Amino acid sequence: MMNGKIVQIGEHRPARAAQCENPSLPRAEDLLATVSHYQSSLLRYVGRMLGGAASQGESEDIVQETFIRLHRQVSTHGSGSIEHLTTWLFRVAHNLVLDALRRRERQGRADPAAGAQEQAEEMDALGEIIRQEARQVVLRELNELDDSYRQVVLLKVVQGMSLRQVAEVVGVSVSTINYRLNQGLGLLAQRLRKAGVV
Amino acid sequence: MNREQAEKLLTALIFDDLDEPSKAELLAYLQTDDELRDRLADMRMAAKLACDAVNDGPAPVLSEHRLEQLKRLAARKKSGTRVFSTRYFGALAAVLMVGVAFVGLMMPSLSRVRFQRRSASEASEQAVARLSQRTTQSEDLPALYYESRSGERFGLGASDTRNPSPEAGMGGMGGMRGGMMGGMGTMQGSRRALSESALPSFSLDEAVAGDQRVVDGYSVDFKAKSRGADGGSISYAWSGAPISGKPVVTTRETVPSGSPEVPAEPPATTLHIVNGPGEEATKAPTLGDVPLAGRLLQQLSESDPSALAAGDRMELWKRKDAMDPKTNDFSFSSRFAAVPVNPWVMTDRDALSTFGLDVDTASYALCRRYIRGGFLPPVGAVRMEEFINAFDYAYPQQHDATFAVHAEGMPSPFAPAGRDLTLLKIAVKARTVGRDQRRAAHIVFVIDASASMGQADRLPQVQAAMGLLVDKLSEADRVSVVTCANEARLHLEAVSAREKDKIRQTLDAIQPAGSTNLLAGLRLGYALARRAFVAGQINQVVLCSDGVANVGQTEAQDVLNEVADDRKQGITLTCVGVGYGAYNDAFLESLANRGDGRYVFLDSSAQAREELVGQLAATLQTVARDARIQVRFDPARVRRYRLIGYENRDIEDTRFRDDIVDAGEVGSGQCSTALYELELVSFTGRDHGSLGTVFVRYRNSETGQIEEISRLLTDSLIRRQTIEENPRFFLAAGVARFAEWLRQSEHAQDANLRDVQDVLDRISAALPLDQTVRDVAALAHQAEHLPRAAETTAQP
Repeated sequence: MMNGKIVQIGEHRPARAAQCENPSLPRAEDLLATVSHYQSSLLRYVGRMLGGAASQGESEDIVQETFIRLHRQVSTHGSGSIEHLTTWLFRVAHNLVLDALRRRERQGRADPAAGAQEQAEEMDALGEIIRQEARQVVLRELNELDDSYRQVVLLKVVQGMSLRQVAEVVGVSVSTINYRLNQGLGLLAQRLRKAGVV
Repeated sequence: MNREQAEKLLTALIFDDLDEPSKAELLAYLQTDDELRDRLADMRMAAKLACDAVNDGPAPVLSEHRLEQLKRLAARKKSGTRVFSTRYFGALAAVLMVGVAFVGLMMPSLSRVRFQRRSASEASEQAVARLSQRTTQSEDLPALYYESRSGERFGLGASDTRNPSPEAGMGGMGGMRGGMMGGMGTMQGSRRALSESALPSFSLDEAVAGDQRVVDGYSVDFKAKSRGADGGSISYAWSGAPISGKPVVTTRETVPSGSPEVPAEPPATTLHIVNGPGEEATKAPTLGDVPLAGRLLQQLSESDPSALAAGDRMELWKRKDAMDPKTNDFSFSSRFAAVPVNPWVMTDRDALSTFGLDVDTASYALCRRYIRGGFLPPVGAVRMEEFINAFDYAYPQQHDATFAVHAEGMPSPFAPAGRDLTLLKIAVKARTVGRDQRRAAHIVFVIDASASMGQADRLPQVQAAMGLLVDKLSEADRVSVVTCANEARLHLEAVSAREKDKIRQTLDAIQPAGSTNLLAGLRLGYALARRAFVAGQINQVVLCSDGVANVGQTEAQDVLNEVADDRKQGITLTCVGVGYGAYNDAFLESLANRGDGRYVFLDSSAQAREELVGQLAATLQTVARDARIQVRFDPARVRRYRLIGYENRDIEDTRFRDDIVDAGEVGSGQCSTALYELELVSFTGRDHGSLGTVFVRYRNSETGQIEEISRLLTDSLIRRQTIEENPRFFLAAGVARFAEWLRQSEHAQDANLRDVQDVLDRISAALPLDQTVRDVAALAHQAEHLPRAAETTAQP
């Protein structure tokens, strides 16, 4: 009985599923509208996926390249070649992130200093130190998660995608996504408890 | 519900992804399991914290300059463009400013060129200026025009400069619309073109049958003028004759069959080019260095690609001697120089066969791409020697002498029935130099960054391949990077190859835009090579382009001459061609030949990338320069011979020992294989001992000394063998036959593709591990029934 339930997870919620065809979403052929609608969420996602060592420029490179590819795709194959704009963008961005991570791994230059600097900059606002500290812990623990877990958590929790959308971005089945989400969120919760945030 | 099942549903509960009954069931279970309930609360909290933490602060946006770039991209109609990765902008700008300032100081000629290209608004004035300059210089250029099906005319040479069309004027070697040479044309809808072209002394509209006019040194006779039934189309037939000894163009008089009132289907136009009496008898007509046919066709397709119809044909007439004009056909293929195939030569009249070594394989890669894309390659794109050289014949490596000569022969596997022909394979293999023995290199990348390079099969391919090459460099090497679009730009100068990241980033950040000022790029590249020149080191310029360059004849000649000068000092040039369809094969090849370099075609396959990198790496270890080969056949043993391929590597027999002759460069471990088809003198009972002698002469790159080796071609080299006994020999034969078939060589008129397929299949079975053999066998099958590519249909 429960196996059947898991399949149902992704099928459920017609109301929210309709969101991805929301007419207020920009159309793929309108590059500028797409950029203004998606740039922040993509930048956040890419920045988190790259981890603390990512520079602002690196995330921006990837997000910009994502939009360029969108434009190329639309002008060569038409907007009909993109079924769901949101998942398309996140999928492309994610592949670019993977490339960047692979490149980084190959060059073996995980640069912890860059991450530290980012943290230092973000703590400038004095009155917010405590809140920021908690935030830093959360981000740090998030970075500690496996890439595959972190990706799912970010897409689901932060971007608010449906399981099916996440599955489309990641390219695996809905039940795998559900499993990873459970594991990822469970691990994150454990770590946060250990760190005393929860 | 048990615990395991409930665990799986926790996140679904958090995100409200459950249907009501499941939700109720899960909540009921959770009432019984405190631990799981706590975990659920933790996860909920974690999710909220993660969401808040990531979304904290103002929403990030792309920096302004990036948005600006995307806006520009959106404003452009077509994409295919990469936008600069701006992280490197600062560094780049600094390098550029220093570079430009320095170059501006050092090279007045270059800054003049740059100045000329300064703005688009000046471009049309430029076109006028350049055209009038060409008009005055055009006395010595042959006039040549083509009239398309649609009645529009295009041409080379002098004509009216009052109304030049800017794109045509900028587009090439002085070609422009509206030149008048006449022809057989159907003029449907062409009045616009005519009025635009404003001929100075002549208008087709005014012409009547029987007219005789003199245009650009041609006497033109009008034979007929007919009006179509619809009243809108007019057909003309005419013939022209040269007044002086210039090459002449006439169109074949294919007046539409049937009544002149029904010119329903415009006839395909055929163009003949015949060498004038003063021209060198053995060469195809050229403009400067560039074969005339290829130039004209390039001009045509650049001016108006729609002018070329797939059925149009161009015939290149090569006047071998006054009595026996050899014809050589090729279908419309605008960027390819058609050189007639080598003829049979009677040994008692000319026992010497001389040519420069060629280790290029570009032609095979390019043709492979055409066939995989569903077309036969244009005939001019098939260089048979480059097909043969694209395969491995497993010659033994050698480490002592600079060259080894390998020769073997057997009865020709494809000889027509009843003819006793022998195939002789002569290979010259260079010594293999160890990596650590290599001298330090300075490599100047000159990368075409014009808008046409933005397509996926062009600049991105170049960037990927050059990135790989950079990985292969050693620490002592240095790299410079130049791009050329509207103007030449210096990105890196003589940076140590230790800074691989920096070099790769620079390459990756190249953004295509604008037109192609290839010559300015080459000039700057060579200036850098000269400036960082170290005698005894490898000084190499690598030009990557689709060759769609707006190259003026005068400038092209200048650059070719400069390249030839630098060659003498030891700066070599490698041309990497990308992107088929719009690709200027002829120009890049002649450039590479002039620059003592190699010419490679890069398609998007990983295989091509590896081949390219391998070849470039071999280039860095050049072992011999100006290598050429001479075979002296014994007339008592060989009645006649023909060389397969190497047509454009021909060297005069008497110049074999002239050491300033420009011949082939051979890198470490590379080899050049030549096939001769021989007709032997029937056996007289007496053993002559040898068919002839092979001589190889070259400059040893290490010592700078001229060396010459020779090898006797003994009779015992000729042995009858089967495919299974000697598959590599049959491989050479099969590949050559395939190339001849693709090339529509006159010697392969009876060639049957089936035979080629059968032989290649059997070789493939005999050499099961060799992927390249499987590939070519597959190609031979794919090539069956394919249409010949025309420029207009070749686009992927």
